[in-house]
Amino acid sequence: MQFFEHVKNFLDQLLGPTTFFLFSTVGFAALVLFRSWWTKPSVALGITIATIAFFLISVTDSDLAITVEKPDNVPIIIMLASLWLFLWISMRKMVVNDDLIAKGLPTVEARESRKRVLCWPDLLYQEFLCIIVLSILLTWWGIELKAPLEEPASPTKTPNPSKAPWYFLGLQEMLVYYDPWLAGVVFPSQIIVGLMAIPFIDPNPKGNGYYTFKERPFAIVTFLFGFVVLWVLLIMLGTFLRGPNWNFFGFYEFWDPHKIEALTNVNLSEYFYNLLLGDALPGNILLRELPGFVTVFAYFVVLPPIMANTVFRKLFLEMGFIRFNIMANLFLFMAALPIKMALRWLFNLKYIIAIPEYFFNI
Amino acid sequence: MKEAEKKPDPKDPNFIPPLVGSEATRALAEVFYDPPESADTLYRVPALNVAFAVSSALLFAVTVWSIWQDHSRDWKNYNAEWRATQTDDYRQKISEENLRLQKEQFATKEAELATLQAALDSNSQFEKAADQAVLAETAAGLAETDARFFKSELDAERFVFEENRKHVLDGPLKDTAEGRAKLAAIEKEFEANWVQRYEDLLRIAEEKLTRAKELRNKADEIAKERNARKKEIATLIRARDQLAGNLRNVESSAANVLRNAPLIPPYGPTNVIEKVVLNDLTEPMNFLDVPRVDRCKTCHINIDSTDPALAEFTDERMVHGGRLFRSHPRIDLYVGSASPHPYEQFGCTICHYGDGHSTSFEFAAHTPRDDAQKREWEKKYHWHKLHHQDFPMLPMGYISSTCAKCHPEQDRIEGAEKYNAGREMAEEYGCFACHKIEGFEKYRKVGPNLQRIANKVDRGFLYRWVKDPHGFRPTTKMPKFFDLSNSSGTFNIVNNEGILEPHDFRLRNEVEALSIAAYIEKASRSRPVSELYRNPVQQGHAARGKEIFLNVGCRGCHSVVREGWIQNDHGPDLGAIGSKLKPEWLADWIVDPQKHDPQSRMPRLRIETEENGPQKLADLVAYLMTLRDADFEARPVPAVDAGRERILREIAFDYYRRTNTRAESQKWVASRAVPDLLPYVGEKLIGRYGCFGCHLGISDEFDKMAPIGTELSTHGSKEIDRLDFAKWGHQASGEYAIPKSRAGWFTHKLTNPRIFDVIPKQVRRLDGSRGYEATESVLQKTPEELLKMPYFSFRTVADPRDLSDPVQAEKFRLARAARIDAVVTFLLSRVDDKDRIPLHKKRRLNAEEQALEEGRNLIRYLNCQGCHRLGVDPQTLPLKDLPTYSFDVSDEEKVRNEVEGETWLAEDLTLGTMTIPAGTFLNTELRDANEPANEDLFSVRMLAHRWWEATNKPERERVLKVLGYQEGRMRRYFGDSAEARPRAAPILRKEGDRVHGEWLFKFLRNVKPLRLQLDLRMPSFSITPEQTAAIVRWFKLTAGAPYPALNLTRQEAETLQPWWRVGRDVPLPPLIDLKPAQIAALKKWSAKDGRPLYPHEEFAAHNLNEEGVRIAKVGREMFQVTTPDDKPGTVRLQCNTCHPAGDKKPTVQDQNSWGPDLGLARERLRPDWIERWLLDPASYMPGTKMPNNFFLPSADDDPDTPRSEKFLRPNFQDEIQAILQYLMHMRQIDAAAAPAR
Repeated sequence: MQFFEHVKNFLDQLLGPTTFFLFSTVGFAALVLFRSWWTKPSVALGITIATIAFFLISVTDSDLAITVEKPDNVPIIIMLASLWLFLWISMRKMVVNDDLIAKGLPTVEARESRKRVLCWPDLLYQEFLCIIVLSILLTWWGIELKAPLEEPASPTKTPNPSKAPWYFLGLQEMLVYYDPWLAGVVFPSQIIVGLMAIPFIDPNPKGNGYYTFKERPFAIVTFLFGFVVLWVLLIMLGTFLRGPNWNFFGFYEFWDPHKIEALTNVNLSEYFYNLLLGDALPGNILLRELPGFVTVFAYFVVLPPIMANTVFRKLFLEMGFIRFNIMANLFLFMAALPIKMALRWLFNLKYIIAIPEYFFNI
Repeated sequence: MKEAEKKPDPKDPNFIPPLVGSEATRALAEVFYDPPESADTLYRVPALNVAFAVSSALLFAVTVWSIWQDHSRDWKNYNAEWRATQTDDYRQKISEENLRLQKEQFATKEAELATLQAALDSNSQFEKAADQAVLAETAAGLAETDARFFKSELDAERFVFEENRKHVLDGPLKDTAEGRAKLAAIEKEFEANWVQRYEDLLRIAEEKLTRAKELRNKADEIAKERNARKKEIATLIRARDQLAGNLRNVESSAANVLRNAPLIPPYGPTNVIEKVVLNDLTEPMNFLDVPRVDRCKTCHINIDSTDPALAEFTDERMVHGGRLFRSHPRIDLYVGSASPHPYEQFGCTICHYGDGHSTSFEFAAHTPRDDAQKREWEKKYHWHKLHHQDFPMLPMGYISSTCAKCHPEQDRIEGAEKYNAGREMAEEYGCFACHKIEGFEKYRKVGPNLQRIANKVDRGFLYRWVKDPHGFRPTTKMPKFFDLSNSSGTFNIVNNEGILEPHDFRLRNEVEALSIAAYIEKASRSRPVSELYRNPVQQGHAARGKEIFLNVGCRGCHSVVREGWIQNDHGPDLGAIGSKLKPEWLADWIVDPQKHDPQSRMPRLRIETEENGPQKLADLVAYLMTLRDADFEARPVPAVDAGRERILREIAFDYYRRTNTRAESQKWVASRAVPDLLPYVGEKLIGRYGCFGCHLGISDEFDKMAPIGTELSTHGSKEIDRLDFAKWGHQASGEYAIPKSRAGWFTHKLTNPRIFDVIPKQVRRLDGSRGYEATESVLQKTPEELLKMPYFSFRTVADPRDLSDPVQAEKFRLARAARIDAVVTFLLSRVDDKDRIPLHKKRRLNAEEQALEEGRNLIRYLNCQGCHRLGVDPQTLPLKDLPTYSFDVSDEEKVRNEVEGETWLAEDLTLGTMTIPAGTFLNTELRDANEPANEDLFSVRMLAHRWWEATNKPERERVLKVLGYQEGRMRRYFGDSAEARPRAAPILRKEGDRVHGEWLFKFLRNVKPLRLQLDLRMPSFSITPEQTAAIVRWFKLTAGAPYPALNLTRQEAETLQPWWRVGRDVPLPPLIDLKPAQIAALKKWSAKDGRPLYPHEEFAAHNLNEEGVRIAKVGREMFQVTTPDDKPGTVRLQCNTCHPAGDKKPTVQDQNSWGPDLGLARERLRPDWIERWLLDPASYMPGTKMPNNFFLPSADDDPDTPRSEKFLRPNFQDEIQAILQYLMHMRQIDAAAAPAR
């Protein structure tokens, strides 16, 4: 028991927002790099069993159990499990197909499409079975877990923590790092516009109708990073790790509303003038925020040409000027979130441009 | 298997590589997959069929399960269980009886209905009357029209008539006889033909109209009656339908079983959710105030039943031991339909809280009353605390707190004893001094005024007192500020740099107390000694002073704990008063307390104004100064040495730094000497600790300051998450160290006010349960951040003194916990919910009740009951507390029993045909009832028993409402002997019945001793005329005497309006010398208002005529002491033996036997009271020395003769009248008799 307590405390210590995100990113990189190893059924099964065991041991902790057993959070656990399952299926197919392609053989999908399948019983019977099984599952769920109703809404008493619906927790996490007009308006619009633009900015015809990684690594890595790390894992973070006062709590920590966290952050202009120049902040707002303006300008305007000439040279040539710039713009918007996170954690940077006088903060 | 043996060939384009390649999964796949080359389908249909069969069966199972889940609810089970018990022996009786009664009722209702209906049907009176009325109205209308037509013709004719007249008057016949005759003819003709006719028409129309109106009224009346009948029928139909419904539901028939089966609800099950919707008692729900819906009765089926058998219902075979099916306790007061709080109007959750919508034990938010019950519930019902329920049900211990929601105007709510106790403590200990509490603005500050404190005590005492008030006087209401759990010892604090450093709080406490003492002394605006009372007597004798102290009445308010005189704690314990006060101040204070503190409640004793008064005062002061506490005096007052000076400078720096820069502060502190810094720091600390909340007069600035604490007006509904449990909140064990409830937080805060600065540790208690205790580790804060609420001892003079004895200490701990519980109950009553309760649901006091409330508060404030017995608050006494009374004791003991145990009824009791009126003495008056002489019948206990039996009271509701118990503790000082008792203060039961209001008012305004022989004296209270009037009004109301008892003519009364505002001496109108005109006016006034004359007015109205004078002279003779010259047979009552009368001294030498001065009888006593009193003094005031003069000394004990005939002298009425006449007109009769002597 004592040993478990130590392990729990150690894990709690480990699970700061910084480390959580860092581990997620590193884990994601490993997922991509070592895909041919971990998608082996035995390895994947081993990881799955180990994770389930870890999870089962963990929920013996009363504090974690409170969060996990909330009827609200059960679908999130199911979502994480199904994400893992589908990730494995797709990656496994990618690995197999890449192998076949490397040998010059037809892909799995190409083979499957040669075979004809009957509507009955091959399709309908299965669907019917699915309906029944899901009905059983939902009925059982409905009986066992009651509707997760909370207290009546009151204008004088808001819940603490006050959380968005689970599917928006990723967006809510962005609010920690960006002002509402960015995190609540600009970024979500960018996400929608970006998703809509994908077919137009992706000229690569490969991977049509079959799984492959090697033939479109950039597209897959970017999408998976955006979806798995920046969306799903942030939902998980928002569900299990964000507690009262939006403070960060380890898995096994009690959500103590009186917990105090150190939260002192500094703007870029203060770094620039106070620390670098050893000077006071200029009174003129524009002058004061000049470093910020320069940085943001550089990020969105100077960086794309540099990218086009270096790392993304090949891509630039394939896509052409306009497509590339649109893609680069969207990409930079997506990268802005992890970058800002890193800056916050490493340098306690609050805003790059901070004009609270006009509610304009970046 | 064939497939598995075949080597997979990736080059074969028909081969599809599986995602999972192991043997096991391939085998699994083969169950469902056909080999590709062998079948038409991809899947194996038989396997799918099996899967389909299994899953279908499962789906069916979960469907059944879901229906069962929906059907199997606790409340349905309870309902069924209750229904099932109706076949049990016990219930059978009730249910069959009920069923029979209901059937009978049903039949009766049906019959009534039929009769009424028939009566209504056959009733054609209305139609007839209505027809007649319409006809008459038509006729009246026609007649009126006729008259109107004729009127217009008349007007036209009038013109012709005037013209004709003009012709005659102006024409050739002017001034001739013919002309006059013609004129007369014209006028006569006009008068007869027109005017007269018109008048006839008008008369006819009016007659017809009257007739029509009569008929219409008659028809209306009949209609009214008919409507009433119709309403009656509707009520009957409703009642009948309800009965029919009940009948259907009670019957256990196959239909009922079917109706209650699962999935049948549309057919109307009989076990339905019982709910009451309270449209006017709303609760907030999602931004709206919605009607309260209470479904509690769904499970508590019989909660509003008045069946006495259900009050104590128990059946161990049933769920909750059958207690669930009990009716509510005190069904006469709560929930019952005839009670003031019927279920239909109040529901349940308005008092109990909890979720009224819910029908499950868990979600209705039941709250266990203690830890043991909590554990039991957890085991039995899987009970757990509901997270989102802000107002779970109140534990029963605190239930009286909710009474205050609807009873805001009453400071004391009858029946809510715990709440009352808590409220009284909040008032006495001055919670409102630091915490604003709505409704408490009216109270005086609880501490003494410190404006001239330096006159009273010296600085050494001030220091010792401020540092540890309980060390000087354990029972003081002043709380302790220093050496508490977060401020004793040395531990780390955060200094103002934010750095941890060790800090010695013992030294700091000393410095703080020194500073406060220094400031208070410096700010004191003392009087020069020359302004204090100068006693011409130099030397007092302590021994004589002690006698005075014991007898003059000091102990009516004060205790001296160490002498064992511990009955009263209205004023402070005087045990060590000599160690505190300066003698010259003490003398001045006794002479006039209000000179020092205008708000002081201490009355003046007028000692210095009496004969030999200055000597008595000096003696008293000398005695009081001998009461000393040497240990306390020996406590050192520390000097400000280097260590203390460092701390002093630190504190000064902290305070100065708040408004100045660091360098400025350092410079300022360094430049000040210690004597300058002490008061500076003291002033700041007074601001921090809020001393000015309780004490006026520290300085003018402090007097204006707002209290420092959190407002408590709505603290009972404060969100629990906003109460800072600090480290006493969530623990490693997953629980809170103290109950996570308002009550839990309040209790711990009051028990140890600094507890939330301390870290808890888990301990195992003796009973094996786990709990948490405070450690000595204190949270690291700056000194300013440390909690500052002081420690209240809540100790009374009756508590054990020596707390070093563990048994005594435990006793006191329990007593203190009970008092804190009462305060917590009071705090829980301060909720914002009260604003949501509509006016008509609140208890509003009428003028009389308001006057009673006001008077009662005043009497408690002045502590009248310290000396007198009044019967201020009705109390409900459980059996064990009822006074015992037995005939079988010595006479002396008997009398004492009567005096000390006297208790009188608070409300009427009905025993069979006998009604015992409220106000009856339980011990003496009942004994006199014409009952068989069995002594048991007359004991209070027996009486109570009989009454309870007769009124069918269940055991748990057996209480008797009484008045006057446990008051007048001062009486006990004078010992038990018959000689000693008259030295005590008189019993004031029904004082308003005894004396005139004017006299009482005048007496209270300007006290003049009545019983000259007493050492004990009525003090002069510092109260306003309005307050005096309120007290008089209270006495009158509680005695049921008429009020205002005006002895004035109306004219006089009007000149005095409002009469109580006039001032100290209201002139009394002469009663005896009323002029005949005044008497007439009085009678006329009485007749006009329909108000009967009060007896004394009647008396006054019968002014002394010759006959009156004769009677009064007889009375005068009876009043005198027997002389040797008396002829045999002379009747003398010899009142003068004991009673002084003006200048006539009593003849008896023993002053203890003296009665009140009868020279005052006329202006003081009400004549009708005198009559009753003379007849039987003992029943009016048990234990009185007044003999019964009209009882025959011996009578034969014939049980058939009524008592009044048996014992009373034959002429008693005449004799009483004679005495009465003499008492009323004593001066006049004496004056007339004087020359004759």
